[in-house]
Amino acid sequence: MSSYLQPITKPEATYTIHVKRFNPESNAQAHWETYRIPFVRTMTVIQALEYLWDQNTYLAFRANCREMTCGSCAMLINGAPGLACMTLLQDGSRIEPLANYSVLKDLIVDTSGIERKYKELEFWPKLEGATKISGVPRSVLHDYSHIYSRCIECYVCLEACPQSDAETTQFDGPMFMLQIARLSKHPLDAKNRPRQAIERGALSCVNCYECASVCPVGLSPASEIGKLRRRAFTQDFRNFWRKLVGKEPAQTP
Amino acid sequence: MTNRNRNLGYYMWLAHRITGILLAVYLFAHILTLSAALRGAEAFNQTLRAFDNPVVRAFELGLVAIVVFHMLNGLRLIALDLFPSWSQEYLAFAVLLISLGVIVISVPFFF
Repeated sequence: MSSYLQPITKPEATYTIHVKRFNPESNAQAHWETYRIPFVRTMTVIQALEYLWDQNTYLAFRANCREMTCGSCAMLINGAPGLACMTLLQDGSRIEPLANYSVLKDLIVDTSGIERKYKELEFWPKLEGATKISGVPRSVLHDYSHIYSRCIECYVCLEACPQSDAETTQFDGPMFMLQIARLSKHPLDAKNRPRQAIERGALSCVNCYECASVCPVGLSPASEIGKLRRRAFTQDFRNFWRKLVGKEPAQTP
Repeated sequence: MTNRNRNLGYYMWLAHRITGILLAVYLFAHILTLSAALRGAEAFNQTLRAFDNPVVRAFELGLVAIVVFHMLNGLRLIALDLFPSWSQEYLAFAVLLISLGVIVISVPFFF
């Protein structure tokens, strides 16, 4: 991999960073290693990692766009989940892989569980009946362009959420809830998405808004979870009332 | 839990959990205290007289703080569920300010 950095000829300082490394072929467990990085102003964590690569350190990490678009470089930086490409380097930074997932090597984690969950949750419009849209409400278009399409699926919110982890918790996590919210607004989707959100643990959300505070694109998955919960409760209340007066429960959420 | 800066909502959630547990513990202590009434008026009065000292009053003020915070934060969570677009941080600040105000107003009633 060639670095996009220009050679650092006039560093302003030399920073020390600590990186948690693990090679399953040679290490029994992860260990911290310390490196010295020539620092220039506005240097980001990913540039530091690339510098190490150029120095033949061959630290394994995921990176792609380097401009907060792809979401590949999520990791824990000083204990906080974030994107390496948008986190400025600080002296003494501690860089480690996301804690909720098993480590494949160095800073690369196994995200196959997330891909499996996408398939489980059927993250595509479930069609039933009509397959053509006559018109899309402006509010739906607005939500898609301002909220749902902006999610870069970086997994930072999943890491920050205190109520979810990769496999064991009933609550899938903020990113999945956001995707469920996205589909709930899709005009062709016929699946009861608020009910799906409840079944996937939306009631476990404690409104701590950690997901909103760490989201690199400024989304608020917690707000979307709140909206899904509210719609589920409204639906349940309506069905309860309809049952009470002897009517059939409503099919649409 | 890693040691890092988290947003106010996270600490509010943590405080809500802790105050909830403390209230549950207090509930048992409260029932135990009031059960002295089953032993007669004199036993009940004697129990209440034992609690009439500055240390217990300070604990009671702390209890007011816990109750007020837990109640207001619970209302905040209900508001966030009903109106998800409201700012959770503004509501959190409001909860903390009102709690502090109630505690300050309550001090003369205990001391």
